Formats: sequence, C-alpha cells, structure tokens
Amino acid sequence: MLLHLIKKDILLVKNNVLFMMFAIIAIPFFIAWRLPEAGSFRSPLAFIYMVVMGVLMICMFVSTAEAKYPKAASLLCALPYSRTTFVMAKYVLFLLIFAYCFIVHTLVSLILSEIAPLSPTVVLASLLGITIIYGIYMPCEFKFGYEKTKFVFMLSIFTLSFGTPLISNLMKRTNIDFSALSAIPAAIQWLVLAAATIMILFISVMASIKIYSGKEL
Amino acid sequence: MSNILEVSGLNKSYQNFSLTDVSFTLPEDCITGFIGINGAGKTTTLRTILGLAQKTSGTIKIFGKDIEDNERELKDRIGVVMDEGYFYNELSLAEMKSIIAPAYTKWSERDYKDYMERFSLNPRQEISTLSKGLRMKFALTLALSHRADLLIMDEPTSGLDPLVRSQLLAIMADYMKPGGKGVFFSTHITSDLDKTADMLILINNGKILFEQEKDDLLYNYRLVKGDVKYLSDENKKLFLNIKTTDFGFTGVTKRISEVQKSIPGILIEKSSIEDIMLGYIEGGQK
Amino acid sequence: MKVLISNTSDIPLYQQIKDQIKDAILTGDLAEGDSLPSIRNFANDLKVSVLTVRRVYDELEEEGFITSRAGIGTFVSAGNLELLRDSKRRLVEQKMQDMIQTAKSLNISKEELNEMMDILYEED
Repeated sequence: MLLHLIKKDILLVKNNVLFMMFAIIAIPFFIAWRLPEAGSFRSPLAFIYMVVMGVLMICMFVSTAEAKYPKAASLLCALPYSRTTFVMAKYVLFLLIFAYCFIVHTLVSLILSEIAPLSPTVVLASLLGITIIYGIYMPCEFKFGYEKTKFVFMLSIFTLSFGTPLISNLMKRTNIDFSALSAIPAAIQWLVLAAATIMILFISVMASIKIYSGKEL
Repeated sequence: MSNILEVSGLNKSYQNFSLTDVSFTLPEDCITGFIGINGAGKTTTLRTILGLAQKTSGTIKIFGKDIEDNERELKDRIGVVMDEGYFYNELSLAEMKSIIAPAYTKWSERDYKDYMERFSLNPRQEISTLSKGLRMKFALTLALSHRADLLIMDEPTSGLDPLVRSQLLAIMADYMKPGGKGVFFSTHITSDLDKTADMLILINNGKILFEQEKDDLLYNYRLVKGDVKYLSDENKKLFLNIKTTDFGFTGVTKRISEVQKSIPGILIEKSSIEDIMLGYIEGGQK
Repeated sequence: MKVLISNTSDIPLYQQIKDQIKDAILTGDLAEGDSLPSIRNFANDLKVSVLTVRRVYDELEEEGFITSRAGIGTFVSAGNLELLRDSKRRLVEQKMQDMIQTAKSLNISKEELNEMMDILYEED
C-alpha cells in the first residue's frame, strides 16, 4: 500500500526525477571544483546541499503535480487507501531521498579525494536539520494547501543556492569554537541527534495525519 | 433481501448549503437513481458516503456494516466512478491503473484487460488526450475490475452522447446479472433512468423529497392537460405543480381520480420521471 | 407464455403481470412444474424494474400459484387446486358478466343470448 503511493509520487514527477538524481550526483563534484577554499567544510557542505536541494526540489515537484489534480487525491481516498498511508508515503519518500543522497555522497567520496567521507555526526545533524524544515513544512501544506505554502520552497531554494557559499565563507572567518561540543562523547552526540530527529518526525507525522484526516477532499 | 447501502440522518453543513437529515436505503439487486437538479446535494451526499467529506452527524452502513469502523474492508468492495477530473491527467492509463489496482484485494487483471479491449482503450495513451466519453469508460473499467459489489457513480453520463450513454446503461444491466450487487448513481439526465432504474431517490436543497420504486412512481402520477378556465384554488391543490399558457394548463398529479371528477375535458398522459421531478421541485418552491 | 404489459393502462404494472401469469397457469399454458424466468431476466425482458417482478413473484407465491427454491429457481406449483378451480370459475363468470352487459346494452334478451350460446358451444 505504502509503496504504491510512493510509486505514485515518483510517477507524477518522473520527468524531473531523473534530472534531480543526476543533479544530486553532480553537486559534490561542483563543490569540489568551485569551492576549494571551503576546506574541510567541503564534504559536509556538499552533503547538506545535496540533501536540501534533493528533498526540496523533488517534494516541490510532487506537490506541484498534486496541486494540479486535486481531485485525484480524492479518488485515491475513495479507494481502500487510508489517509494515514497517504501521509506516511510523503514522509517515507523524504527519507528515501535522504538515503539516496547519503549513498551518492559516500560513493563520490571514494572517487574524489577532495570530498571526505561523512562522519555520523554530520549525517545525523543534517538529518535533524532537514527533518526540522520538512517537519514544519508538511503539516502546513496539508492544512493550507500547496498554493499558500509554496513560497517556502521558493525562498529556501533561493537562499540556499546563493546563500551557501556566503555562509561557508562566514563560518571560515568567524572561527567559532566547536571544541566544547566536540568534547561530548560521540555516542552521546549521535543519540541526542537521533532522538531529536525521531521525536520531530513523530510529532510532524501525527500532526499531518490529524490534519489530513479531517480535511475535505 | 438485505440492504446494500443504508444512510440515516446524514447532516453536513457548508457555508451556503447543507444536507439535512438525509436518509435512504438501497435494496440488493437494484439500480438506484439519485436525481436532482445541479446543486441539489447529490455530489455532496456521495462524497460524504465515500468519506471524502466529513459529516456532522448520521450513520452510513454498507452491506450492513458501519463505514466508519470498516472503512478499508468496505471500500474494497465499492467501485467508484466520479465525474471527470479525478485522474492525474498527465499519466498514462497504464500508469494510473498501476496506482489504483494495488489498492484492491480482488483486482482482476483479466477483467481489466477485457474491458480495456471492449472499450478500445490504449493503456499507453495519456489520460489528458482522451475524450470525455473514453475517460468515463476508463473510470468504469477500473471500477468494474475488482469484483465490486456496489458501484457508486456521480453523474457518469453527463456530457456523453446518447450512444455512449446507452452502452453504459447496458453495462450496468450486465453488471447486475449475477445478483447480489447494487448500483447507485446520481444524474440529472432522468431519461436514462426511465428505462434502467429500479428505485428513485430525489434530493433538492439538501433534503430527500422522495424515495420510491420507479414503476410505482410512474404508475401513480399522471400528466394532465386541460382548459385553464376549469382551474380553481381548490383543484389546483390536487397537482404537484401547474404550468399555464394561453392555450391551456399542464400539471402533474398523484390524485388523478379526483382531478378527473373536478375538471372536465382533460387529456391524461403518462408522466416521465423528469415531469415528476420538476413537479416536486417547482411545487415545493411555492 | 405471453406477457404483454401496457404502460398507459390504469392497472398497475405488477398487477398486469400477475394477472397474465395467473391466466397462463389457469389456461394450462404454464403447467405444474414449469419454471419461471429469474427475476432479473424477466425484468430485463419486460423492461420493468426488478422490484416489480419481485413483488409479482412474492404475491403469487403467497397465493399458492408458484414456489421458489433458493438456488434452483421459481416453479409453477400444484398448490391449491381448489383455488385454481375457483379462479377458473371466476374467470368464466367475469367473461359472462362482460357478455351480459354488452348484450343488455344492445337490447339482446336472455333467450336470444341462450340461443346464441347453444349454437356457439356446439361449434367448437
């Protein structure tokens, strides 16, 4: 059931998804080539960029397609698909994209020396970060509809495309002392990050399910 | 004989429109026509039955089970045909089917292929390129390919030419043959129902005006034409509604024997479902 | 079996069908044990609603003219022979009533009527 709804989302954007998959692969190469001065931030930066662009773009494409045919969702809910499954599919898709980015990044790191493999901390921190964005966005889209919330996508993509190089320079210059954080044992870092991610995911899913269950289709 | 669908006390409010105390039952082995003018509440009722719109109160039982408690199991047995616009038009028929078929436990690939062939539908074609008639046929194909016991259709024949309409009605008759099935479809094209319906339910302004066997309805009412000069305030009450022109009046009545006694020289004819429906609606607006 | 129904008659559809089936049974057109069509098929052929045919079958069964066995079908039953005979008698009586009324309206006397009856009875 769940898989078929995910398949539905992918079918809806099949023209764009291939392009996105390549784009995600291209990003680390691009970063390695264009931002050599980012230094050790290159690797996590590339990953964050891949994740954010991947998740945002694909979800934007899916939401646009769904918004074009609002009644199709109605038909699907008249079928034995439950509304809960419908909601879950969106979250699982998001996690799948994240997994894909991770795999691609790891493979690229094996090829390119400029891109270092990711540490679990970075992976979990990115997951938490994107979960926060997605976790806040999804219930809003379910509640207010795509038309009203799509500006979020636009804004995020815009900011990230142009803002990331700036932020990376800023971070290099300010030399923030992360040593206090690094003193915390790695295992605890991972635990905290993972727990926070799971908790936010859980709350967001519950909220989305509640909103969508009461929605008029 | 059991009831396939039982709706009781359904209430639903929107800003400008409400369903008020909608109740009706669909017996087994019947084709039931749900009639009313545009905006009467047909689509709202159907959407509420399917759980697409949230009801304020009331119960809906299908095959004797409450739909709120057995949603998935019941929807598995229902075939749905909604008016056009309920597909992802950019997908091909095969792709759309690949999303819909897995939802049903009793999907029959063989039935699906048979219908696709029968309707001359090409699975690789994009839905947006289909004509309205073909889109409806595709929707019907999907609804008929999972051994459904109840077909719920919202205005399936609107916008279709008479040939396609008669094909659809023939398919409905075929569908009913094995027994134990039901068809519930809403329409404002009542001429289709004159031939195929067993039960008729009329809704207007969110309220059910009648629920009757079609043969009874057509037997009980007559269309009467006569001279205006014989109309009085008294005998006007015998009619559901009356239309007058310079050349005479036309009215629909259930009390034909009384009319015959009080108005001489009248022409009595069988009334159509449309005459009766309009009689109720216009008469009710007085 | 012939069943012709009129949409413009004053008699309800189900009554017309019921009467014609009864006639067929009484005149021997439908014999004991003959099967009747399924409700759905009958309804389709006559172009009436299944609910109407269902009512006809239910009432005929109640009155003892037919029996239905689940899964097998509906059959003409011997049922009430008395009832049948009575109904047959009533049929003849009805026709005689019609005949008498017409005769009276044409001023044909009872004697003339009896004469006519004698001649015609021998003819067949």
